[in-house]
Amino acid sequence: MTQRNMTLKRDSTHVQGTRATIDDGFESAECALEREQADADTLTPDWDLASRITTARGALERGVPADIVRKAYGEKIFAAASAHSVEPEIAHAAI
Amino acid sequence: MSSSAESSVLRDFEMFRNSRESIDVPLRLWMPDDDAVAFAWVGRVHNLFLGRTSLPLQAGILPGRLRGRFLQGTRACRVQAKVWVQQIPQLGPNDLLRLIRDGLAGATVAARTDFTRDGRLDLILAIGGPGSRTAVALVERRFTLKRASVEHHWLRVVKSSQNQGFGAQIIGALLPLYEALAVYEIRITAGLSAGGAVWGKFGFVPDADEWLRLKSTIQANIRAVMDQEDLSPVVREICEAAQWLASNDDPKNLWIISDLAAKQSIQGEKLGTLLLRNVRWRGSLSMADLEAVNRLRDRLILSGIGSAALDSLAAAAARR
Repeated sequence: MTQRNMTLKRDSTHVQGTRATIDDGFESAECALEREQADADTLTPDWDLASRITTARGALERGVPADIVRKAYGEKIFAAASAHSVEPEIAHAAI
Repeated sequence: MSSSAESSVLRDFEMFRNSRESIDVPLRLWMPDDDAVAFAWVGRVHNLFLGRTSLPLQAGILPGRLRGRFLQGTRACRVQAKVWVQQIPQLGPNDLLRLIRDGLAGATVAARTDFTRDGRLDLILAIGGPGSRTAVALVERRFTLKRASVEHHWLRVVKSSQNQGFGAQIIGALLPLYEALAVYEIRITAGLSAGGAVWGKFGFVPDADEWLRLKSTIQANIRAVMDQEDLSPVVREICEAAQWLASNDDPKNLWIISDLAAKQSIQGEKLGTLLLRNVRWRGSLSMADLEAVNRLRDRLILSGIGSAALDSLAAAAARR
């Protein structure tokens, strides 16, 4: 039985195309993570502000044009990301 | 005549074989998330016919398959102990289990090893719930130790409001194991069951060739959004930024797209999620990439998970 079920799963994991839509009380990591992120967004807007500031800063350092970063993240995050004096720890504390 | 290292591995296996602790793994947990619905139903009918709803797995780490074949009992333990010592001499089964359980607040774990023909180590973990014998998660990690890489192949968790942050918790829980196995790259296939956005939020980056392939799908999604007549000027401006990001060759632009319009929703969905809809990609997170590590760290902290294990793993990757 053990063997049969392990084979059942393994042989089918990378089938492309249709996706299971039945609710069997379990979910994939991807669905769980997406739901967790969405719930956190709903409960606490701006909960991931620090993460977005860090990424915006990285984007500027990688050469993404400032205007694109400003449009993508908005003025508040763009200002925080552009300010070189703002250390990541301070950005976290500012939430 | 086996070496002392093999004897030690064998002793661990014997200890687990004599364990009376077990986890009931609901058969529904074995169903793949990207599989055809019909296949899932065939499996259910099959199990219904056999009158089973769960599979009891003995706790601890025990041999599963070896080079494609199931081996059981004493012989399996002996053969696997030999392969184990060749592949992971630095860690015995009991040490490995302890590392996993420590990251999961001592949860009961039933793990099975699978040493494949091409030298990969697959680890299948059933994780028990707090104070319960029933599994709340089934995890498979595929280690290619020669390349210091692990594939996050499979994870299914029980859907419950009591398990907030469980997806992120399991990512964080296995990081000490990766450090012990000298694994510094995590590979994933994104977009198998949900959208392709969430992994970007955790610092995963599409492979360069995948990004080139994805760009046209993302650009088509952007055009579909921009074609809407009642679009606010703010969202239109964000879409213009997205157009530039999706035309550029840097795969890390996916991070920015997944972050887009945190406050604006279109038809009840975040813009970033919408633009990455129907986007399936292969990618990775390198522990040597400080920017990616920072992004993962932020997400783990936001999910209430400590970053000490990640910091230690990233430092080890930097020393390589």
